[in-house]
Amino acid sequence: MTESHNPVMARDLEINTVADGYVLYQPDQDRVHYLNQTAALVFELCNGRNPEADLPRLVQLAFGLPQLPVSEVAECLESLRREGLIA
Amino acid sequence: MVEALRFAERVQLLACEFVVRTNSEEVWKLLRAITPHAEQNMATTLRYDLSVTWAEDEFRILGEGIDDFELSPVVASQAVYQRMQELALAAVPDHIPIGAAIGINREKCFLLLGRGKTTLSARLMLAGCDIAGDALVLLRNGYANAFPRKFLLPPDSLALLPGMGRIGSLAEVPPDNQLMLFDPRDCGRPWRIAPALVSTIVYIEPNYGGRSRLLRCGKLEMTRRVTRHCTTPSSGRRDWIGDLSATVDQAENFIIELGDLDIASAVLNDALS
Repeated sequence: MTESHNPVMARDLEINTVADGYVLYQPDQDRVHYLNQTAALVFELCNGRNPEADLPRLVQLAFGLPQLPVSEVAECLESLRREGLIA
Repeated sequence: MVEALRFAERVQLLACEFVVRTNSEEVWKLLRAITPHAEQNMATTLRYDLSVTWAEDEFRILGEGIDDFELSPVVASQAVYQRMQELALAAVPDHIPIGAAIGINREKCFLLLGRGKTTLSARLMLAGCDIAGDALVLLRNGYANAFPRKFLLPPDSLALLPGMGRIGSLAEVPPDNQLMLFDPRDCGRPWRIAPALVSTIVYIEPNYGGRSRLLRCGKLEMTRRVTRHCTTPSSGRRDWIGDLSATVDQAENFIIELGDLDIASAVLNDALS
């Protein structure tokens, strides 16, 4: 994990909210992505202001988790990057 | 000498009115059999004229971007009908086409998606539901509209629908007669097509030979399932996913494990009421 990097959402994404997650649409690629509530939170935290290293603590606070979800957040970020949803 | 085009068939498909003229009584009868004659709550704003002329041992199809020859009246009538459907869909470019059946329930509508939707729709129709379409739905801003088309039932399904056997006008669809053509009026039901707010979406998971169960489905999962049955609107509008996901989000969503048809019909009727 790059500690000094602030992840940011990709541009030109259409973000649609449903009760239990996000439906993201990349019009240029005509691709749809489905984010559950955890992935949606991680995605929302990628606003360019949060260092990547802070994300596990923020997710822990949001969900009241007993432990830091370090590997889970790392996996989520990797997946979002791979799909071109964050930079 | 070519006979005059003395037969005419008028068909409304959503916003389009078609007049097909032909000098072949056989083509005219085939068109009457395959084209839908539902009451449609949509003003016709476009009119198209097509012709099918029998001359010199072939059928010439002319009009609205088509200039074709066919040797068989069956193929000629199907080619004309295909062109009509293309033009009708082109007239609603912002609508999202979804492979689904649609039923009307108290001025709102429910959608059925997945394998077995025509058979389940027919069973619901026999139980008194108003089913407006079995194959294609057009969605816009949360409102769904059946694309007017007669229902196509595989002959295997007739054994599961004893009530359908009473329908005398059930017609086989040429050329290979592998499907049965019918519409709600054949079941003594009205056939009305009008936009209606989507209140319920049901996704069919086949469980043939097993029990039927109705289970709630999450919005995200249902959006994923429904999207697989959609095509991008022909206008290319970029917000169609937002329209679709908002529709799913405001509806009640279920998965039906489709085993016994009678039980499935009963549990669905309960859920819809």
